[in-house]
Amino acid sequence: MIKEMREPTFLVLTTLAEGKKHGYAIIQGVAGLSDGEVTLKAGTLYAMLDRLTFDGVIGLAGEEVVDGRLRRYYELTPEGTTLLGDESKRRVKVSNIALRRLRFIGGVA
Amino acid sequence: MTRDHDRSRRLLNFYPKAYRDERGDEIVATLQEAAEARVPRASLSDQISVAQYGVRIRLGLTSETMFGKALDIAAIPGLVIGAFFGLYLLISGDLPVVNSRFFYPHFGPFLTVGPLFYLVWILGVVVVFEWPQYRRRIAGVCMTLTIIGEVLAKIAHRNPNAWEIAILVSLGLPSLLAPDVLVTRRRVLPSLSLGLVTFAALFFVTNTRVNPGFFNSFYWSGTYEIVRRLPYVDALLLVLFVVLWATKRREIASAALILSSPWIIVGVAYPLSLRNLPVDAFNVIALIAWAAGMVLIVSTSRYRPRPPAPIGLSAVNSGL
Repeated sequence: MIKEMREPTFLVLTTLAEGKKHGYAIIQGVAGLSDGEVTLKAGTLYAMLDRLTFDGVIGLAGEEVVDGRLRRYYELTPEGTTLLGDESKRRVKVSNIALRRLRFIGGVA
Repeated sequence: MTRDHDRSRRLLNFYPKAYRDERGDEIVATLQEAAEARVPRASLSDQISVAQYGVRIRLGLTSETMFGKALDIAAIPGLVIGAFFGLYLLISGDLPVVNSRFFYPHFGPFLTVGPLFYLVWILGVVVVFEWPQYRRRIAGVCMTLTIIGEVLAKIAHRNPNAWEIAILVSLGLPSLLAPDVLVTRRRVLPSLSLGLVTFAALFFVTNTRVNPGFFNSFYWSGTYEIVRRLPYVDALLLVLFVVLWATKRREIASAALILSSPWIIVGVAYPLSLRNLPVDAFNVIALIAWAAGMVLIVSTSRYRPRPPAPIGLSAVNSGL
C-alpha cells in the first residue's frame, strides 16, 4: 500500500512530524526538506490537506489569528504517524541496500 | 486591503460558498504569505492552482466525493478498455483489409494510421500498470497523441473513423479528471477482466467477418454495427447500475456508468449524424437514464460543510 506514496505527500507528512504547522509553514517545510526541489503551490497544498484529513492521516490542531490572518494548524494523527513510520523504514531499507551495492562496485566511498 | 488581497479574495469565487465560508480566510492568508515571500511569477502559479482546486471542488472532482471516488475507480480500467478497444479495431477493421485488392494502403500495410494510435494506448496501459500514480499524465499523452494524430491524418484521408476515435479518447477522461489520492491502486486484475469482457462483447455484438468491399468507403467502420446492437448492451449496463446502486455499491455503480458514457452517447449521436439511419428508441431511453444517473452522481458530490473539529483538537484556539 505504501509503495506508491508520492514524494510531496511524504514531504508534507515529514514536515508535520516536527509538530503542528499551518499552511504556509508546511510549504516552507517541504521546500526546506527537499532543498527547494519541491515547491508546493497553494492550491495543491489545500487539495493535499483535504485529502489527508479525509483519509485520517492528519487532523486539525487548532487555529489562531496572526497579523489579522487566520492560521489553521494541522498535525499527524496516530494513523498518520504509523503510515509515515512505515514509509520511512521502507525508504531507509531500500537506500541501505542501494548504498551497500554501490560500495560493492566502488560507487561510493 | 491591498490589491493582492483583493485578487486572492476574488479567487475564492471559484469555490462553492460552503467551502469559502469554511476555508476562505485560511487560503487567502496562505496566498498572502506565499506572495510576500516569492517572486511575482511564483505567486501567479499559486493563484492558478487555487483557482483550479476551486473548480475541482465545485464540480465534485475531489477524492472525498462519490464522483471523485467513481472516477478514481474508473480511471485505470478506462485506459485498459481503451487499449482493448484499439485491439478490437485493429483485428476487426485494419487487419482484414491488409493486402485487400479493394483498398490502397496509406500507412505501411494498413489503410489508416489507426494501428499507431492503438499501439500508443497499449503502451500507455503497460506504463500505467508500472506507475499508476502518473495515470493523469499517461492518459493526457494517449489522448493528445490520438487527437493530434486523427486531425493530421484526416488532412491526408488516412484517419480512422472519427466516432471510434471519439470513444477511444473519451475512455481516457476518467484518468484525466480523477482526483489525486493517497494511494493509487493498479487494479490490474479487475481492469484486465473489464477490458477482456469489452473485447469479447464487441466481437459478440458485431459481425467479425468484414467484407472489405461492402461499405465501398475508404475505411470499414464498426460503429454502425456497434450502435445497431447497442440496445442489448445498454439494457445490461442499466440493470447492472441499478443492482449495484441498490446493493449500496454506489461508487462502483457510478464508475460503471462513467465507463459506459462514450458508448451510450455515441449510440444516439452517431445515427443523428447520418440522415438515413434511424435512432433506436432504446438508445434514447438509455441516454436519458444515463443522464439522470450522472445528475444523481454529480448532485450527491456537491461540497458539504464538514463537522467542526473535535473539542480536544480545537483547544489551541487562541485568536478567534
